[in-house]
Amino acid sequence: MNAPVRTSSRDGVEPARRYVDATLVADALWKHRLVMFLCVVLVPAAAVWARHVLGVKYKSSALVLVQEKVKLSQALKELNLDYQVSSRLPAITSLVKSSRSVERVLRDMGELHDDLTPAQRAGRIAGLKAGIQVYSEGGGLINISLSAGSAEFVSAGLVRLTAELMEELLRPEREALAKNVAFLDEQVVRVRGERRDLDDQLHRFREQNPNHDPEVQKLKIEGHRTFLSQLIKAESALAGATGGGATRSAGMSRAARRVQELREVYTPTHPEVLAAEAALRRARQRGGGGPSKAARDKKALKEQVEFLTRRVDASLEELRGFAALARQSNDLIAARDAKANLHQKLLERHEEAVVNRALVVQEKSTQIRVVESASKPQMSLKSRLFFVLLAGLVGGLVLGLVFVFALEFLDRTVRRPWEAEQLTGVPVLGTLPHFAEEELAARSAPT
Amino acid sequence: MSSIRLNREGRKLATQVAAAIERSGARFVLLTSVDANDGKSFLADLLAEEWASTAMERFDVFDWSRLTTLIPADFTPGADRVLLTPDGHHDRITQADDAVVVVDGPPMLAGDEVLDIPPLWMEAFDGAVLVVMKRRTMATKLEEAVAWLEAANIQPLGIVWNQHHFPPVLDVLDRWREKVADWVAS
Repeated sequence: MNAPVRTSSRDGVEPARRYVDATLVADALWKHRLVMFLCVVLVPAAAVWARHVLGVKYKSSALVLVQEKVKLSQALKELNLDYQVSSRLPAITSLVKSSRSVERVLRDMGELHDDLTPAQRAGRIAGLKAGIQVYSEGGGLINISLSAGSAEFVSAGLVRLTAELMEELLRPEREALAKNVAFLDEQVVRVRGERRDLDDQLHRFREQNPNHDPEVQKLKIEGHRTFLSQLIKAESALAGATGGGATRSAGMSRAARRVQELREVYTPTHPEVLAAEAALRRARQRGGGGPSKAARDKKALKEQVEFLTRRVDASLEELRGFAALARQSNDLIAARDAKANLHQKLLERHEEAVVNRALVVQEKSTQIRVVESASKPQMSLKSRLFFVLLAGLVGGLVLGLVFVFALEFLDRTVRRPWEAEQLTGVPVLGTLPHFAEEELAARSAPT
Repeated sequence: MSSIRLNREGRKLATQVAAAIERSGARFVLLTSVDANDGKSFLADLLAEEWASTAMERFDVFDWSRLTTLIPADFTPGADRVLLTPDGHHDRITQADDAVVVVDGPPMLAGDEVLDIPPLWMEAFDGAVLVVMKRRTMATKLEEAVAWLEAANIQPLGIVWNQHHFPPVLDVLDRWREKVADWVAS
């Protein structure tokens, strides 16, 4: 008996095989067509049932403009604007979805009250959070949408939610400005108090030092000057009385010598001689009087000088006292004036801060504002029957394919003729093809 | 048209099987499979019909369940073998005859026992043809069945690949197209 021709790997013959081909996929789908059919039918049915059980969702959206003030060219500004908004989007999303905001919105709408258990409260908050979607639309626009089971709830909730967002966005700057104004308020009050204290001190000082009147001080200075000038005059006069006789003697000597010299040169009637004699006579007339009178005058002048010297010293002492008081007074006045100046400046800053607060808030309100309030609630796309069926169909198809893939992966049957040859080393003689039922019926029918 | 295709495919398969048997020189061939309902009887009917209609009368096909015995007449290897049927009719086949007996046997690994055929019968077979059902026959069982046949000194002559349950995609599409056309026409 002849042995059959073997083509298996046992004989070292390994024909080129394609392990995955279209026929394999088609056969797998055909074999597991019931699984595919069940998935494609049951998943959409389950989706429709879930839609019925969970209820229809309504959705509404609002547009909020968030602009940043940047010192850039217009083109860069636009780019930067988007960048900044994009970078701020997570923060804005967190703000909108924060438990505080959501809880406040629910409280405003009467959905949260004290009768609820903590689990119920948490459930409602989580439910509203799940319905919120935030995404950027470019150009600084942020779309906020809310979906829920009731159209009225969606509409009212979104209005409150956007208002809450606006409040949260403006709050930091508003609070910072308010803090600034409050700080300046405190400083103004403090400086005003200090200024009043200085005023009181100055007032008390003036009461305690009544002579320390500028007018009095002026009169005293005038008096001192008068005494001083009188003293100078008296001292001059004294000096004149002491040194005047010698001068006059020297003058008369000079005049007598001149007359003598001229008489030796000229005749006694020469005009020069006559003039010199006249001058000698005038000098003799000026230097007339006895020595006793001069001595008396000199003594009187000395007494006057001594008196005036004492008065000037007393006056100087008094003026020195006045200077110390004046320094005290000036220090107080300078401190009072500085405080007054500071107070004035603080008042100006305070006024500026108040105005700035109003302006900034107004400006921010234009930079961050609701461009489009809550739109009319519409049935959510996910709640539409067509979408549910389509999604269910696609999901069922995918699920079916996953199942088929898994079953195929676990399949340990012989799937292709060459696999049987490989396993057994026995050649495939022929193929029994698929025959349709009508073919078999026609064959078995009597002819 | 359909019947023509079936006849053509059946004849082709019968010719291929006959050629493999003749090439091996086997006289008593066991037609078997790993599990039940793998298409043995369908194939046996097809072979019997085709061989009868194509002047290949020396190829006989028998259903094993209708046989009472299948033993060599004198228990001597290579001697004549006697084939008996339940109704008492017996057919004697000798070495000199050129008849080839194909027995539509039981599945090899179905049920508790390995094979329902009495061990003595197995000595009568020279070769075996295995029917393998696409995507149904387990690979491990197929290997086990072949090993079992080799252990019983029965030469596996070849495999008939049964893909009756897997219609070609184009056939399916054609059928649907015809159905749609009929529906539109109606």
